[in-house]
Amino acid sequence: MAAAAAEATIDGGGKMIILISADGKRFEVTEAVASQSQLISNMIEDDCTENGVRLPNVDGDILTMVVDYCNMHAGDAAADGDTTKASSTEELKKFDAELVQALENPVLFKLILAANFLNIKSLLDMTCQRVADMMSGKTPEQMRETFSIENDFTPEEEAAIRQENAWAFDD
Amino acid sequence: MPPAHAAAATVAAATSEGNHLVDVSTTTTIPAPSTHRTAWRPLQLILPLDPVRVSPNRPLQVTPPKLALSLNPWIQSMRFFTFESSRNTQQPFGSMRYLLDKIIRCVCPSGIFQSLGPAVSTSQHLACVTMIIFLLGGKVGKKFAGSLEQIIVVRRGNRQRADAGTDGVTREQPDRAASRSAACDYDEPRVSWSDLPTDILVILQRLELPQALVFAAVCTSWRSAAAIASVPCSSTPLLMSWAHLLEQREAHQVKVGSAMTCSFHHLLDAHKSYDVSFPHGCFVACCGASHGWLILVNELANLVLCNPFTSRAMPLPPITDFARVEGGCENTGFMMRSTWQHGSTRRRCCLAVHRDMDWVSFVRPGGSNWQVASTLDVNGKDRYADCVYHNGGILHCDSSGDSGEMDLEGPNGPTKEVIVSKMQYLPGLLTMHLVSTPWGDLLQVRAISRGQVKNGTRLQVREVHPDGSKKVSPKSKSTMALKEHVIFLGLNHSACLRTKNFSGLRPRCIYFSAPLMRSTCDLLYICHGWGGGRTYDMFPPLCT
Repeated sequence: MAAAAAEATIDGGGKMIILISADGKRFEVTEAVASQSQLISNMIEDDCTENGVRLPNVDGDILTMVVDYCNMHAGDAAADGDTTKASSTEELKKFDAELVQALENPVLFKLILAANFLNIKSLLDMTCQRVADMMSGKTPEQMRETFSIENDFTPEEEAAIRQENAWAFDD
Repeated sequence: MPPAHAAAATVAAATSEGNHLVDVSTTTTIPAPSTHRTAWRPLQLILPLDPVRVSPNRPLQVTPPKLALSLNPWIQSMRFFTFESSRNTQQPFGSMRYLLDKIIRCVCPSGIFQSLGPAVSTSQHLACVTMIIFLLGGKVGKKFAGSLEQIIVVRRGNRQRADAGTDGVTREQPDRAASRSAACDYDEPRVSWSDLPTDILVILQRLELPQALVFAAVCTSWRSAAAIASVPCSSTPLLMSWAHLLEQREAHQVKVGSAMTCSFHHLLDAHKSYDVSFPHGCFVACCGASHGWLILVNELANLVLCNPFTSRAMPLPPITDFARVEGGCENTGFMMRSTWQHGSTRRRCCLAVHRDMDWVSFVRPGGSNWQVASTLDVNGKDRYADCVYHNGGILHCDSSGDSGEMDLEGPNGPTKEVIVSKMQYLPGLLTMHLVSTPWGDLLQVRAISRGQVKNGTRLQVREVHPDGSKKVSPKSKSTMALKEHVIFLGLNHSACLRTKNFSGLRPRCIYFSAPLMRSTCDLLYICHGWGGGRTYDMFPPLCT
């Protein structure tokens, strides 16, 4: 199927697919772009994209970012021969870095959820790496602050964890 | 309970080579030892003189590694090392024997190998391997395969679970719930990182072990995610391998002064591994582990205690402080660990066995140099084999099986008192370890070569009593207790842990990671299948 999508892109035509976000925004993308999402790729395979793909889990804002990302990365998914359209790797890297760096906490969270739902591996990898980077060098308390997580351990549990990790945390 | 809150051990996971019986109760005629034993001569190892650090009383400071490297010919010569990665093999931890095989072929002809003394302890052994590698780096540019591995065992503290006071829990809960719902009212309800689906928590796989442990302590949902991803708790024994580092170093893939990343493997599942990075310039080699601290050799060839989970490093005084180290030279047979602690931090110290395992030196926290604790006759055959903190004192044993206690705080300097002295020659002895057990006994575990039989190494567990050491009898207290315990032996501080506290560990086993190093080629050939990591069943079916 991926090959078919690639062919469509090379031909210049390419079937267009309409993505509809949770708040009703519509995005028209080529099949090659959309099929970076494993979810949509499967739907294309099953021929159920005729009336647009509804994505009830994804906000319009987030979907805009996802579509931007997919448009940028359509190059590497498409056939190698398509040199005119394929963005240079450097440009891509720059785009990715800027995208990820600019993400604020709630948006990053939603983007991860969207990437997970749409099953776009490269985007999921990238965003997860960003989260991992945000976690590095932090104590549990700082992590909770960064990610606005409430400490839901009972005091006993927390004491047990603290004791277990006393050496690792080097309190 | 031993006073240690954490113990570390070098051992290895059970390899597919299977178990080897431990001879607990039988006596076996041991073939005469090889005749090369007397051919031993100290080997001079040139350690680099750090120009910045000539004065022994100078406070410890970490010099930028780049500078050190450029001044340090010894370190540069290390670049010649080649290690075949053990990762490509089906037995990730069994490849030490290849190293040994290669050493036999490459080194013995040049006479280097014979000049190393009998390896009486694992610690010395691995230290020797490390040393040999260092030496060979410059001299023999051939390929070596091997893995230097280490397990860290951290003792689990007295974990007081909440179930001890159920009433307290139920009383606490409503308050907790109330505060929780109150918090939810204020929070923006839609975004909660704790609600990330578990499968997204693959983020975890991008975290190094220290951070993964922190991750697991953030909230309950992350904790369960960590459990699913089998992040170990910090008290899980792990096997540390740095063979790939040497390989990368050789291939010039490691930039000068860059942070080193080691993998820590799960003991039972070698494919589960976690990365731990060490500070820049901190990790050149690892020569021991004790109470959760790794003893690393840094780029200045100085010793550094390092907590692998927090990356906290504590430099030890320069080893050029060791007595009789002049002009930066130190004999081989150097270095063994043992930090021990006794209640207050004031009584902690770090021991090193050096000078061909003849001398024991120690340093206390805040101390600026090493002090000699005990020495053996340089011309004698005895070598210190192990030191352990036991029942309030430091006990040592030597290669003749003698044991003694050291008092580091004597009014006239350190003193030692002989506990067991037989001065007997132990034929076929490969390594000897002292193990302080939770039930208060001191065990001595000897690895003895059985001669011509392949893989014929057996471990012998003995009890050390003031009236002499004897084999553990089938009905003694130790035998009963050992059935619920597991022993870790190796480069590390020997540890005896209760299996109940470590799910998955096989009880009644000795996890052993010491590869073998011996002064004679014949013995090496005989035992060449020995190295790497393996488990020994202390109570094989036949004996029960």
